[in-house]
Order: sequence, then C-alpha cells, then structure tokens
Amino acid sequence: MDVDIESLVHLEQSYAVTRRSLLSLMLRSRFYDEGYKDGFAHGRIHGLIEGRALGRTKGYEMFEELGFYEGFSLTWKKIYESTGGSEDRAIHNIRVLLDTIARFPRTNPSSSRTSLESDPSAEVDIPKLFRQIRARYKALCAMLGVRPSLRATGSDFQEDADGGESMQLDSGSKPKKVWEVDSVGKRTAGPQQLSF
Amino acid sequence: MNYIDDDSPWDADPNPSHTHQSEWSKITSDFTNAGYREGITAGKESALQTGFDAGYTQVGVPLGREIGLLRGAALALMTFIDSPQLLQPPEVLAEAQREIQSISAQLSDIRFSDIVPRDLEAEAHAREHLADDEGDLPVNGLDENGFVQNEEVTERRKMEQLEDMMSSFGTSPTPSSNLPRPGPEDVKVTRVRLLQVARTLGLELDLD
Repeated sequence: MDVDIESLVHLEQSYAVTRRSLLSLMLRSRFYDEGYKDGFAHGRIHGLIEGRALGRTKGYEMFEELGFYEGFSLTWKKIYESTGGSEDRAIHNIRVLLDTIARFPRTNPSSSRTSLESDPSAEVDIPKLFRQIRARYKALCAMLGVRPSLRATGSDFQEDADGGESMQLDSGSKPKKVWEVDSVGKRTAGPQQLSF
Repeated sequence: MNYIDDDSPWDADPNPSHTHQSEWSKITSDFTNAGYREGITAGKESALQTGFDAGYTQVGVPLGREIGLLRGAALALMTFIDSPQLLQPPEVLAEAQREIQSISAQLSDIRFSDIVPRDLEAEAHAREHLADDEGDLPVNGLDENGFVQNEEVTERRKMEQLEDMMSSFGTSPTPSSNLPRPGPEDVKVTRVRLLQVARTLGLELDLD
C-alpha cells in the first residue's frame, strides 16, 4: 500500500488547526458571554442611577417653572373669588393657563409609548405647550399690571432674550413627543444627553 | 560554554505548563473583559430611559412643582398686597408685606441640591465600587462620595459653589456661605408661613 506520509502529516496538521479554531470559538463565546452578562447587569445599575439623576434634574427644572405659573394663577384665582372681582378676561386667562399647565405630562410620555402608538392624538408637543404657557402667563401679567418675571422670587430660570426656550428643547422641525435616550447608533453624543 | 542564561527571553521555556496556564488565563480574561465592556455599555443604555422616567416622575416633578407653587403664590401675594381692595389695618399689611418678602427670600435661596432626596441605591453602589476597587474597568458615573457624575449635574454643582463664593464677597457681615443650607424641613416651614400670611389677607390658599 502506497501511503503518502506527507499528506497524512498535512491532514493531521489541518485537523489540529480546525480543532484549535473551534476551541477558540467556544472559549470566546463562553467567556465573552459570561463577561457580557455580568457587564450588562452592572451597566443597568449605572444606567438607572444616571438616568434617575437626569430625570430628577429635568423634572425639577421644568416644574419649578410650571409650578411657579400655577401657584401665581391659583393665588390670583383665589383673590378674584374672595374679593368678588369681575375681571372676566383675567379670570378666563387664569382658567386657560391652569388647564394648559394641567395638560403638561407629569410622567414621561416614553413610559406609555405603547398607548401613544395606539392613540397618536394622546401625543404631547412639549415645546409648543411650554410656549403657550409662557405666552399665557405674560398675557395674565399684562392684565394684572405685573411685570412678568421669574426672577421676582429669585428663580434660577429666565427666558432667552428672544423669548425662546430656556431649556434644551429640541427646536428641530419635527417636534419631539417623548424624552428619549440617544440610540446606540448615536453614541457619539454620549448617553447622558437625554433629549427633550 | 553556555552564553544563554536561564532568564533570557530567547531561551526555551523552562516551564511549559506554567506558560500554558498564563496564556490560558490571559485568553479567558481578555474574552471576559471584552464581553464585560460591551455588556456594561449595552446594559447602561438599556436602563437610562427607565431611570430617567422614574427620576422625572417620582422626584423631579413633585419637588419642582412644590417649590414653584410656593414661589408663584408668594409673587402673587406680593403684587396683591398693594391692592386698594385690602381693608386690613396698615400695620397688618406692613407686617404681611415684610413676611412675604422674607418668605420670597427664603424660597429663592432654596436649590434643587438642598432638597433633593438622596439616591440610596447610587450611594450603596458607589460604596461597592470603593470596596471592590474596580477602577480598571470602564465604569464611571459615580464619584468617591457616591454622587452621580454627569456633566450637567457637575456643572450645576460648580455653579452653586461659585454662587456661594460670590455671596461671600458681599458686604453682608454674615456671609450666606457660612449659614447652613436650607433643607426639606425649611420648605415645609415656609409653606406654613405662606399659607398663614395669605390667611391674614383673607385668602385660604390650596397649593396641592
């Protein structure tokens, strides 16, 4: 029998290479997966912590301002009720302002996204709502003869010179309806940049 | 004569099993670390929105609204007190005005960082990091005190420190930076004071 020793050696070598590759793949998969699992659990903790910190800050910022308008309107409403004032326009403005503030979401719409998808009319245009509320507040102040300023009580907030948004509202052509975390594809912006 | 000593890197491995073992550990730890790094990023991104929503709804909104309501009501009372409709004696009105001014000053001094509740989970996790000393892993987000580190929060804290510094340059004989910062209890007290002064003006406010 004619046995080609060289080809046998070659065969054995390629078998060894294949076995090593397979082993390497299995190892990669096993250890990588283990690491990924641990990392994912750890990352979730950090994501929750960082997300919470941002949500607290943003919620506070927005409602510090909205609450200011609400407290101002509620008090003036009470003043009119108790003094029997008949400033119809001011009363009307107060009601509309309070209604508009009540429409502002107190939970992030993203958490009820499924319901939003089934009912698009439930979507809220945050920047537009903010603009309406500020305009209503200014109009109310004009009627009451009060200078419209958030600084009267030392609030940290002030509107931009052009009356625009003082917070980082997305001024793109497409209004954003939810506060969304940047997707993985846009990671360059950093995970901290939760958009409004 | 043997020119190659035992420690030479050119020498054949004197202990093949040891080398094999260390290669093995390196390979496994490389794979594990690579998985860990990608896992931590994916895990973080998967939870950011949930955390944001929780922080927004449970803490940010109610806390901001509470302070905002009080500030807005204080301004309304301040503008109302000059009204000719008020029939209270002048000394009562003057006292009410002083009280409202004092309340306004107190409210304007309160910052988010004064009243925000501690994030106990964040603090506990930061302590775990300190204990584990995992500094070499790509993990950040918490400083050594357990405070969450992100650009916005850090910037805000720096700004507040700057404000404290500026106020200490003032002419006030007791710089406000030396005074204790207000806390959640002060908000409650201020709220009671505000409702009380509104009552003296004949108003029963409901700020809930």
